[in-house]
Amino acid sequence: MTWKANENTSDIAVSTRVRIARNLKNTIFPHKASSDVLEKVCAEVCTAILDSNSYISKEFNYISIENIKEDEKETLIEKHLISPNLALKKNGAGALINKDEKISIMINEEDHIRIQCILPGLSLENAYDMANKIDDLLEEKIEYAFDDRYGYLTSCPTNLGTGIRMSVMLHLPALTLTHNINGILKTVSRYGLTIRGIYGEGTESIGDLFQISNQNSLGMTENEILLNVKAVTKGVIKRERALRNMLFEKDNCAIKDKIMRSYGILTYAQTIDLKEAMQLLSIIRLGVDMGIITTITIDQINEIIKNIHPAILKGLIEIDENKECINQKRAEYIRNLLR
Amino acid sequence: MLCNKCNKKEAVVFFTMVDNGQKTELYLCEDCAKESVLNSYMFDNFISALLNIENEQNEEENNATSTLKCGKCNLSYEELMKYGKIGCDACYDNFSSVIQPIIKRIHGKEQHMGKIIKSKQHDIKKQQEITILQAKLEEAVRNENYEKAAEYRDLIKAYNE
Repeated sequence: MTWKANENTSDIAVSTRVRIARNLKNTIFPHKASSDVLEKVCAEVCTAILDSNSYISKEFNYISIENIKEDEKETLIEKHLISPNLALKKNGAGALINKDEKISIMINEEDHIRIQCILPGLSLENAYDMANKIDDLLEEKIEYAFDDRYGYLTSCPTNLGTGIRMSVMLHLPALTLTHNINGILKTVSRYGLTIRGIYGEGTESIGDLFQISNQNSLGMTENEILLNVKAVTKGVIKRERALRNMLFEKDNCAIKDKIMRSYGILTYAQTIDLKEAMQLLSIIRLGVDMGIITTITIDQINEIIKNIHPAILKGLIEIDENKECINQKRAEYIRNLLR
Repeated sequence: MLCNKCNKKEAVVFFTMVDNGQKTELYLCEDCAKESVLNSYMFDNFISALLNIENEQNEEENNATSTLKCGKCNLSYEELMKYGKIGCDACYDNFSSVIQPIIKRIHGKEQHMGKIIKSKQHDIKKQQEITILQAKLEEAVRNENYEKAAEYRDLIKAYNE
């Protein structure tokens, strides 16, 4: 199944992520549970998905954390299919991941179950719909920890109620370049949402990528949360677009210079670290959107941004680690695609 | 600005908490920040930070709560304060006096309004509808629309019977 990104916003909204946190009734939460309990939860969740009568069951593969190598874990983290937290677990933890890598069900991370759906562009309805279907399927076999007042019970009180976090990753170079980003951060928080770096909680932004998500999960319906995130996201997109137009009209030469210099560095650099590459690609992405660079598409740049993360890159190209370092290979990879 | 806690030293760290559009700010000096809100600059321990702040504001009750322990998962009061993580579904009852105010502070609401598990759909739907009516009733009273308010009051009464 392929999902086409919403064309009106996909230049700014990179991807949408919806996650649902759930726990099993009468079962101790992962951080206090014994390994026997953890193993039992894994088995129960796997059975609920893999042995179900739904067509979904054939879409998923189970990955047990104790059975995979470090570099495989890194790759899954960079693809946002598992969290760094899950990768640290020793036993009784894993993830069910579907074939097109849009849905992952983490087992025994902070909560027993974390259903997550990632789609390109701004696609909150579809992402929620897919995650919700998995939730319904699990509920056919599993009894959830649920309280009349607090809703779905979670290991951290911030996720109580719906157990939902809806996030949209946005590319905001114009807001950053014009130093308007701080104003946006303040405005967003006024609507009960947070905005932060792309690797989630407590991370800084790289490549002008920011993630907007709901902060509260209790006392609102899933649809209210969705509409709130969507409305604020659209507001931020509108502002970013207005600033891009302004930059283009007012300061054409300066912005063009910045874009072409970034392009120049990336097409000739011999070694480059992830952060610098992300930053320069961010500017080039802006250049493509403004029609200044026409030799590459936004989708191709998104692909490069994804693939230059260390573990993913190592899986794509051969590196003789005695002779070359990852930064050399990254520079070479980007040069080949941009030229 | 002086530290909100000791009122002696210059505040160097500040927290902003957004609670339903309501912003709460807390300014702390380096020592107080280190001592009471250990690591709370990091989001991981945000709950722990909130619990500790709440705790210091209710010092008299401390003795009663500090011996709390969950009979099901063995989570102690100390662990809860340190990591800010709940141990099992029963903890929400066993530590309710400590956790309840935090939940209100984080979410600004106390009644789940979203999806309901199948086995409880009937009962909770009713509670959710009452919560909506109560909000409408309060709004009507605020707007001095007493006719509407009486209507909502009767509806709530009917639900409760």
